[in-house]
Amino acid sequence: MSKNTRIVIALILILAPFSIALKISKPTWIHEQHEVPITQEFKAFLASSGLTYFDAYKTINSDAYKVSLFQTTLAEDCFAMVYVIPMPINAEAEFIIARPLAVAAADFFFVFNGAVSDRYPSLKQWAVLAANRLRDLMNLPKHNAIVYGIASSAPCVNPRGFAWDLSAQ
Amino acid sequence: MGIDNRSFFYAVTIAIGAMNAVIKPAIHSIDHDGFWSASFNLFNVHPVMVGVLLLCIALIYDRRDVHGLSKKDLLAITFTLVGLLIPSATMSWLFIGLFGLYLASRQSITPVQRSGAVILLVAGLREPFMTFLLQVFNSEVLALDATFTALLLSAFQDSVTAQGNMILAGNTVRLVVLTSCSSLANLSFAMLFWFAVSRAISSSISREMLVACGAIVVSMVALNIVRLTMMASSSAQYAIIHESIGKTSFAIIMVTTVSLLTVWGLRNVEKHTDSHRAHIDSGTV
Repeated sequence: MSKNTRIVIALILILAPFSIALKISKPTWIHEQHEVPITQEFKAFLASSGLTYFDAYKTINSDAYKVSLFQTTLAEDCFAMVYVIPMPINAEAEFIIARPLAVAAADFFFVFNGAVSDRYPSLKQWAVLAANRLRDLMNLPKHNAIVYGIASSAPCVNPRGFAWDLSAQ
Repeated sequence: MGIDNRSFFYAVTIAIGAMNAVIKPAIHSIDHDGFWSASFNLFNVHPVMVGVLLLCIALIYDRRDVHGLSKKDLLAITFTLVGLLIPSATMSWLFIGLFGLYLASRQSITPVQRSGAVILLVAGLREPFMTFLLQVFNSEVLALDATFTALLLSAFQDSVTAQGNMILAGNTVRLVVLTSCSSLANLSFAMLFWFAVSRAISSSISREMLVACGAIVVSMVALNIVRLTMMASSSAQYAIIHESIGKTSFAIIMVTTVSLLTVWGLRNVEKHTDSHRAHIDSGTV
């Protein structure tokens, strides 16, 4: 048996069980991240802008992409709702926010790490998700990878104008 | 089996890579659905991937291989095994693909082993490539499915339109096409199956096999659109098609269609080769 063969057998015997053990022991599953609730910080941020959390409803058959409703409280002449859907994986709920609760929204947009955009920031989210995987391997804290789809039911409420830098809250 | 046979260690490395790639989704499937339900869904591991990896091992392992492991082999196997320590199924697939690339670049392997290496490269890179594609171009991919579905559904129902990945009938949302329902996800497995069979049989892909590939693409998209149309047509049909019996039936139809079309392509290659030989024998070529 050659030296190289002996080294490879040793490597296989050590690294193969170890690699499989690492896969089994790591409990984070990307699939489970579909269901992301609205955080208390997010609710507090909208409350400071005159929007009170009302309830959350299913938009599809599963529990993913639940829409959270926030009701206007400050302006008496404006009864409107602001809808929020957290989108942690990809853009598949991009158009759900355009019709939350099956009614076309007056306006909708996306917020990702403080930046507001009309289209879903797929590439930016992919970059953060990829970086998070590496950070996860090194046990470093992960960056926010959740895109928030925001819609309003009436023009009298303008969530686009909010200071969406949620990390600063 | 000689223990100094390098192809044995190639095969073992691929097998370890395959286990690393499938163990996480398999355990997740058992954890989520329970053992028996997970086994019914083949533990969340696509049968095409299992078949293709076994084919790669069968093609690469050559008991008559007289070569021992070189320093390059040692480095490549070490690189792969260290890469597999990363606790990510996608990264495991990537390292399997890179190992395939290394094997395909070896001058001293047989043409059969090279076919196995090229198939391994494509099978390994499929997962990271599809992850990227379905993440970055998700809207476009799903919108395409929704557009075709709305077109087909509009033949039977009034005022059906597509808005992004949603299919609407008037103001009512009939169906939201999600990533797991996209034609592209199924198509990638179908194309991998076709490529693996084509490359295992011949080192070059003939015109007849390319025609079969075109037929597979059209039929996969068409079958998925029909399925989505049936799901969008009524909630009763949605329940039947979306649940496990409908899901399994659809998977069987898909696999059967791809297999039949691949066999059809191979038969055409044989026929073409036979008629070419007959022409040569009769002196017309």
